[in-house]
Parts: sequence; structure tokens; C-alpha cells
Amino acid sequence: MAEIYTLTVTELKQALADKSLSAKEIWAAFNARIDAADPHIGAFLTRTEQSPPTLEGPLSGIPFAIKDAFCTNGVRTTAGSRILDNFVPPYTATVVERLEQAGMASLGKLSMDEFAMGNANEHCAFGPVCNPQDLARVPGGSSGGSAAAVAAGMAPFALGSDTGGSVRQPAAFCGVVGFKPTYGLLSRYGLIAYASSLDTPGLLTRSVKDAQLLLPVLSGHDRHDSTSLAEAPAPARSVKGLRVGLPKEYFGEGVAQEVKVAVLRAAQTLRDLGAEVSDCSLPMTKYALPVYYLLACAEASSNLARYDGVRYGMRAEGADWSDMMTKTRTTYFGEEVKRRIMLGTFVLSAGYYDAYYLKAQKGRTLIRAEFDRAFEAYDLLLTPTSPVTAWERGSITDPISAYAADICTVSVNLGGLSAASIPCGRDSLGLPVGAQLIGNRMSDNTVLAAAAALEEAIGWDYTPVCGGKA
Amino acid sequence: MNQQEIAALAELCKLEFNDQALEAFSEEFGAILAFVNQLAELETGDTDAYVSSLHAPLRTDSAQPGLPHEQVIRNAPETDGEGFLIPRVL
Repeated sequence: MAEIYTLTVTELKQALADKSLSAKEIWAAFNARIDAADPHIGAFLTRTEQSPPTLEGPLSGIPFAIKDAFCTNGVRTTAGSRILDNFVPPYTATVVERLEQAGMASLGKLSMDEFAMGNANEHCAFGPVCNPQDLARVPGGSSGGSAAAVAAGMAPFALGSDTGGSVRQPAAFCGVVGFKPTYGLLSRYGLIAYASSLDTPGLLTRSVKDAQLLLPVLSGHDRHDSTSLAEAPAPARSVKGLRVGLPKEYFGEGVAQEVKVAVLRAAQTLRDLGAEVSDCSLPMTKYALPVYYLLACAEASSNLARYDGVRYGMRAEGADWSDMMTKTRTTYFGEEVKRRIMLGTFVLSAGYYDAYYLKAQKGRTLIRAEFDRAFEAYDLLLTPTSPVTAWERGSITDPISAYAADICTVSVNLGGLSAASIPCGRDSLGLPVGAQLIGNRMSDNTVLAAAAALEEAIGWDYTPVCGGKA
Repeated sequence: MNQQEIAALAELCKLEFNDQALEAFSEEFGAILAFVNQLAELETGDTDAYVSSLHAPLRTDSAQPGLPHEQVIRNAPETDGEGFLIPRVL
């Protein structure tokens, strides 16, 4: 029999049902794998100290891990920031609670870019995470710890959050599945806020089937989140006859040739499966990055005003209240967080609001309208998840180059759309390439059905790795 | 933006930068603004600004039970057991 830590959620559920494995054995196997692999990877910020899970439910006995952006009652939650170094939440995020109600038990909390601001997990205050495919490379971000944990078999499933690609891009870099549901389908209650109109909880797994199994467990209205949707997503449609668009702007300048080749091969596979695949154009794509960064930073500057050294988190000494607050924020926020708070405050300030913030909100309306038109002609869009594969740690240092790497993912958040990234090939260095399937709002089940069909046809080997080796 | 403007912005953000950091930041900020300025060429005409909460369902404005007081206050850097303590304001 395969090592327990190599099994998917679906396989573990089956093994528990036919009693070929016990919850105790599964719990021990994943903890042993973390002991062996995590010293090389650095995905876990906090391990959950508990005995084998005993919670009853349809997924009882199956462990998972949590991006440290989700609050967990009684368990330290840092959002990757020193300012929350000592924070122990008094409540649990709704999505975590739903998994626990289904019987799942948390192995621990996973590393992330500070407050989810980054795409390489190099902005975590507690150190970087190594990509299990190649330890010298970044795992992507901001859910880099989640993607690395799943890719290395340290958890069969991890929760992530996706504000501009933070689930899909690390999934692509680490060779796993990343799913960002429609905005509002999963509750944001207990997800530490970065940019509230874009933040979406997401799933990282080693099979699309697992995402299909877990989505109904996680979704559903939550009265604690005013943007939480009451309705369920539309039923899945079969791949045969699906109209799939290939927007040319996602295959242009800056996209690595090997990435293009792998994703176009996936397009051919979809054709072979009976989909009608054709080229299309989304000209607004060129404005997506500035719109995204302006809006995300504006929202972040407001959301992060709460870190004032008064109610929770760290406090630095100061001569008076104002000085204490300034010293607290200066001491405990990292460089990238300070950069985004500064940009956000600038674009919201009198004199600049119309030219930047308001203009970006109008741009967002136009981007959404363009997607609405595209989804009249197409059921899904297929694009690369990232223009490049995982880069070497420390090789991208200027912010503009880092922001530009988000070109394939940010539009999806601006549109509130659903999208999945699945591995579709490798470049000449052996690094995974991610293909992104994008669907309209509430077409989550069709996105996942098409991703599952494509995954099966590609036959990707998800065997967990640590440094490229099993 | 010059260093003086950056320093004023930092004050609004409740952040401090030393002279060296201010210089580096001012240069970097210029590059970031040039990057977002691509948006200036976008013709928006009479397009409405996107409002994300437009379709959020409203709930009855009624009192709901909150978290227990001692749990809420547990994470505070300084308390007197009842409220949050802060250094002097004036």
C-alpha cells in the first residue's frame, strides 16, 4: 500500500470507510511526514498540539492544515506578521469551523506572506518557505505555506486565501490544485482582512476531486459575513460542447514560451475532450494590474489601521498614545506592508482620490463588464496561471517586477469570478506549469468539472516531493 | 514625490522612516506611481465606479450576543481587567 501521507482526501475517506486505515494511523503518518519534511521546507508556523482527532462527521479522521490568515480559537494566528506574533484569537473562522464540524482536524497553521501581501512567500516575518519541487525556489504566494504543505504531503488539503492569485499561483508553482471560488461563496468571517472586496478563501489539494468534495462542506451563507451569498452555485456542465476561450492577452509578451506551450497543449486536450476552443480577446487585461494594486492597497491601508497596539497584537513603547501607535506600526510591520499602506493612504488622500482610487473603481466596472460580455460567448476561459514558473529565492527584489508576475490572476478577483489552477506540464528545469480555468460567478462546479476532466486526461503525477524527490 | 511629501504621508499612516529609508522610499514610490499611472490613458467616460457592497443583503439591526468580555480583552497589551489601557493622550 502507498505511504499514508501520499493519499488524497478522497482516498483517505475511502480507507476510513472500509476500515483499512484508522484515524490514529492517519494522524500519526501526517505528523511524522511533517517532522521529516518541514525542516527542509518551513511551511508550518504553529503545529497543533493534540491527540488523534475524535470529532464525528462525514470527514472524521481526515487532517488538514490552515493558512495562518484564518483565526483559530485558542491557537496562535499571526497572518505572517510580527505585529500579531502573540495573537491568540477568541473565535474561529467560519470555513475552519465548517471543516471541524465535518470531523476534520487541523495539523497546524501555515506560513504566508505578511498579511497576504506577496507572491513568493518571501515577505513572511518568520522566514521564507522552500518549494518542495526545488528547495532553492520560492513556493509562490501568498499561500506559499499551504501549497508547499500539500505538495510535500504534509497535509492532504490546506486552506488558503486568494486576493489577487494567492491560492492559484502557489498551486501552479508547487504542482498542486488551487481553487478560488466565486467571491461570496465562502465566508470571510475570521479571515484576517487584506482587501475585503477581493479576499476569497480558497482550497489547495492534490486532486480536483478533493476540491469538489470539500467545496460544499465549506460554502453556504454565513450571517457573520454581509457579502456571503445565500444561493448555491449552478450545477456542473459536461466538458463536451463547452465553449472555451483563449484570451490572447494572457499569452503575450512576458509569458515564458514553455508556459505558453504547456497551456496550449492543455487547450488541445480540452478540444480532444469535446470542448469548442477558440481564441478571444480581453483588451482591458492591460489595466488589471494598476486597478488591482490601487484598490487592494487602498483597502489594505484602511483594514490595517486596526493595528494600533491597543486591543491586540504587539505594542512598542511610546511617549504618548500617538507615539506608541507610530512606534508599534513602524517596529512590527514589514517593508512590503508599509509600502502598500503608504500607497493606499496616498491614493485615498484628498487631491489624489479621483485620479487614482475613483479611476481604479471605474476601471474595475469596465473589467467586470468585459468579463460579462466574454461569458456570453464562452463558458470558460483558459489561461496560464502565472507567466513564469517558480523563480529562485531572492532573485526578484524590486516591487514592480514582483507585481507584474500577478498579471494572469488579478482580473479574476476584480471580477469576483471562480477559477482553478491545475498542473499541466513542466518546463525544461522540471518545474510545474499551471493552467488556469476561469468561469463566471457561480459557475464553480463547471470550472471544477472541466478541471477534473483535464486533470484526468493529463495524468499528472501528484506524488508528494521534498526537494524534487519523494 | 519629494522626501517631505513622503514624510507627511508616513505621518498619516502612523509610520516612521529614517532619512536613508525616506530617500530610498521616495525613489521607489516614484516607480510605483509611474506603474499605476498607466491607468491615466484609460477612457472611463460616464462609467460608474464599482461598489462592492451594492448587493450585500441587509439584516435586521438587532442586538446579538458578542464574545465574552474576558476573551476579548485577553489579547490586549495592557488592561485593568475592564478596559484597554493606553499611554497618555494629551
